[in-house]
Amino acid sequence: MANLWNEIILRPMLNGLIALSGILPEEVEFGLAIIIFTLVVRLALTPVTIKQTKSTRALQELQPKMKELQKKFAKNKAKLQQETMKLYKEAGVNPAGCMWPMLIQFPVWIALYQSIMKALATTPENLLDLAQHLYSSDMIAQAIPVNSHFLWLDLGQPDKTMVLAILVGGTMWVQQKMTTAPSTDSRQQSTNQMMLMMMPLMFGMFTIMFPSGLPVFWLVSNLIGIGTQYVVGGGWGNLKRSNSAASPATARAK
Amino acid sequence: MKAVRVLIFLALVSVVATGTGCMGNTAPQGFSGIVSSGDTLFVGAADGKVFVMDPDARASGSAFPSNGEWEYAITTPSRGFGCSSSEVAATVYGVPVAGTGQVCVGTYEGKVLMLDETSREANMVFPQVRSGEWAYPRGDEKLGPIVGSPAVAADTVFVSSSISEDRRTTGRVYALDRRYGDELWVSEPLDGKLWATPSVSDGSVYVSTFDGHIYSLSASTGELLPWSYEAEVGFVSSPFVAGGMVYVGTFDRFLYAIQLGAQEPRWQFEGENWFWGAPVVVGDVMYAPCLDGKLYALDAASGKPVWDEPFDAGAAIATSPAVAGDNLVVATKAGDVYFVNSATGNGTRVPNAADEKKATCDAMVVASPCYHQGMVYVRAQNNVLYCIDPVRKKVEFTFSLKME
Repeated sequence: MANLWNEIILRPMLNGLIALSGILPEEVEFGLAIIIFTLVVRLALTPVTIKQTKSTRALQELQPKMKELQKKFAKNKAKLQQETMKLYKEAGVNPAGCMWPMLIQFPVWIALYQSIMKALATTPENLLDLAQHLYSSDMIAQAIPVNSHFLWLDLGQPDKTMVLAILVGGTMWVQQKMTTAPSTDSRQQSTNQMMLMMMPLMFGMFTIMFPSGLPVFWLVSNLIGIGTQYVVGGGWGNLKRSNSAASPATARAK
Repeated sequence: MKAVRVLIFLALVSVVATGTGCMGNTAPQGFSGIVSSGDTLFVGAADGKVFVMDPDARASGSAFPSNGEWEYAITTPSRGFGCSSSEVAATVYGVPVAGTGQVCVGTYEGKVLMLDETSREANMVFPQVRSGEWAYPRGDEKLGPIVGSPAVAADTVFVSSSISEDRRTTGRVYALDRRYGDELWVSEPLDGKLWATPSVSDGSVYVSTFDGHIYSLSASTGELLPWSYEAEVGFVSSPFVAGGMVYVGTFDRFLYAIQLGAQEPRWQFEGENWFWGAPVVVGDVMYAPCLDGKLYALDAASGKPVWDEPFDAGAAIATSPAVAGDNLVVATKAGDVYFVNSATGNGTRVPNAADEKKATCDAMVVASPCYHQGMVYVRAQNNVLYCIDPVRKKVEFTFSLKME
């Protein structure tokens, strides 16, 4: 299984990344290669991402109707489930539609992450391991070792300036904010708020801990996610809405 | 809500996988090896430990440490998030250098230590300056990671180290006084990562860098000497100097033989992967291990293969072969140990003591084997020392280096 993973996914991706860095200007080779490679992978996954975005949006649009059903069948769980499924069917929405694309993308992200870390070969063990994953090609041989310096970063080391952590956390917050619909349920709203803060903070913390090649990938990925969401979702979505409108809880209080 | 939960779950899975090394980024473990001096074995082990052992005492199964034996754990200040400072185990890649009652070790955390055998056996506080113990740099200062072994010539210790700063990775060579650890000279910054073991020959120090340079420095002053060699690709292995030639492996899978002073290689030999481990020269023949799993026997003068076929160990050879009489001892990343006849290239695998079908060692071997007083010693990455009888081709005993 591990061999299958290595041969079909990891090795092509790793060697592609290294070959790409070999043809880019030396000063920025690997940083730029990560960005281009992330773009290419995201582009390849665009149909899946669009499907996921549409499914999420469709689910959000059904929320008012869902609330009505929850009120109506508050004491009859079986009926509620039945009616909910009926609602999904009528609207042509598959609730798993926003889960599966995410699950499909996940192995690709893991492979991309593995490729970045292996290519950077920050420790002697990593370099030794890298040798077992390279194709026999002059182009790849000449690109090794990759230049780990990019902008102010050493991609093989965590960023000590906190700039990258703020960028990763910030873009993640924006992306999540765009997709998280405000809820009329105050309990769910507070949970949403907590999640909205927790994920960016968590990834901001990871950025301080992990070699910055990985956060660069997260940052680019977040920016592409924001762009995709903007185009497919038709604007800033809930980011703008929640800024211009008072929260439901506040509105109720008034 | 489900989406958020799944997202959190996936994030946590990725963090756990990352932390456990499943994602391709392993924390430095070290793969220091074994060296012998006199009747004693000096073993660089995991967790920054150095073991000094009497092979006879280990063979007899005596409790460790017996007379003359000791272990010392090198530690380094923790870089964790805690407010209080703590010490954690250091990482050692280079083989300890032993002689005249002292052991010299370089750590990945950027310290060079000179240990005095008597003081360590007595378990005294390090450093016992009066006994010739020292750490360089002094205090809390550190160099960049030291990956290669120190080289000791006369009264000088040479180490190489590299750091990344101002958007460049540069290496430096340090010359230290063997007795007191005083800095004799520091070379000017050399472009590229410097993980090599310095090679000292005829008053010159030779180092190879990842950006494809071989530099020669004056051993007495550290000044760059006129001769340097520049290749189109980086050098993956340390330079090995013998008979006026420097032998070094490149990232494009070649082994170069360059005459000192020349600007063109005398010969180059292509493997199917990197020549990571240092070659050994016996007489006119060079035995070069390769990560393609083969041991090549080459004419040292011409680079032409000596055997009809290279010896195929079937798994990457990251170690330097040990010479044991007419045999070369080769250890692989799969954990197998082979005795290869130096004349014919025919090899015999040493079976696992518990299960013949399994690899000789129960973990990969990245540290070079050592031949000492008729026996071969191998340290595997499970931190176990294997003693192998070259005549019977059998594991005689094992000794766990995982001691408290």
